[in-house]
Amino acid sequence: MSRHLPEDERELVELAASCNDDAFSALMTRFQRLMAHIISRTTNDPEDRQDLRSEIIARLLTNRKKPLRDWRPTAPFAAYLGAIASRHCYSWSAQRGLIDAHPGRCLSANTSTVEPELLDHFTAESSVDTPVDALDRSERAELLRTAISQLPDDDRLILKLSFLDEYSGPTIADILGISHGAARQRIFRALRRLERILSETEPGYFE
Amino acid sequence: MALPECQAMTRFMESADDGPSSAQAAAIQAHVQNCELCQQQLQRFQLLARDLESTNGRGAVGAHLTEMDLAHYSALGARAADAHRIISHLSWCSECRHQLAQTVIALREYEALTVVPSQDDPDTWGAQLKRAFSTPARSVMAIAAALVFLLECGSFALALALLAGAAIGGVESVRTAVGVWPFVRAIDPFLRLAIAASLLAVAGIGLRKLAALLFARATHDER
Repeated sequence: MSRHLPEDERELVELAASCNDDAFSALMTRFQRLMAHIISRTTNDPEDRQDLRSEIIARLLTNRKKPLRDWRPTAPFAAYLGAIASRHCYSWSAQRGLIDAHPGRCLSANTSTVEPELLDHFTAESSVDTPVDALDRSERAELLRTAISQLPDDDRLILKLSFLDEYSGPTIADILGISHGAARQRIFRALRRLERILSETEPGYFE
Repeated sequence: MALPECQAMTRFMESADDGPSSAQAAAIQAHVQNCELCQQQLQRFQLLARDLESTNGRGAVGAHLTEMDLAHYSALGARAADAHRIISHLSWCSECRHQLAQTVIALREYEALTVVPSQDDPDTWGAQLKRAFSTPARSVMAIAAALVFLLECGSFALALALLAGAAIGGVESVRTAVGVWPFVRAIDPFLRLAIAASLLAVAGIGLRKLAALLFARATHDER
């Protein structure tokens, strides 16, 4: 005889975290499509997908279901499970050397609605010859690292998402939970601050 | 030396929250072509962008974010508890940044894939009827119309008058019903029968709606 299981997410997770196998199965059924979606973003191979799914479920069961007990209802369980699954998929890809140095670049190929970025006007490869060879590359890199370390955390994060990870504007906006326009403004301001820091601490950087 | 700020460009960048329109983008391009200050700024930004792409600054990363941190930030952004610590870590740790980005993108894609069309589609006549009986006054009048029709064994005119009141709703319901009464009495009996029969179905919806309202109130009081 099957027992009635709660519809409420919190109660269901708490029940699943205890010794209730039916609740755990119900929880996995409820979120199986989300897990399948995250896994499908990692690999196309059916066997690998099945392995990943089993590994993620096994991870939830480790240490007497500690990951389930660690969940707090201050965030949706879907987001928590998404983080666990994404982290596991990341480790899986890293072990196989499949991590892209520019994760945003490969994603933008899948994103059909990448808007033309205003910032492209500022950052596109330029044919203008800039006097950048006054300092050698390693010296420039060191100066830039120092300048970046002086930026506020918000600025550093958005510059890295944009230029190092190469995510598109709309994706950055999604990641930070802000509007596309706000993301664009923040990138602009962060570049301005970085430029000021470098201009003040190393006048030769732009000359 | 830091370049002075071009006020026109700052205004451009701070306007249009959803990104520039094509006309604005063209205006910005035209401005940059004519503004020496912006051209110098552009050159510096291009240089920074190029250097940034090949520079992964390292700082004190510390312990990686927990999955709960990632869940909090992906769901709440800067409103997440302890957001300052999370942002600080993310600004240095490419691994956690990557994992957060993948989590957010996957959740957004998943949400987009699983969007179910609302049952209360505003274009369907059923949804419009449900909205029409969204107030208790309308429901009461519709039910009264049904009762009159059934109990008075064919007092169609009165039923129609009450239904007209139901359609208006609020305190105007009774006045409308009284006003309509002489006109509906003049309608041909067969036509009245057809109209009343179809409107009785509408009254049924009113009855259901009122029952739902009463039930909701009762359960709310229990809590």
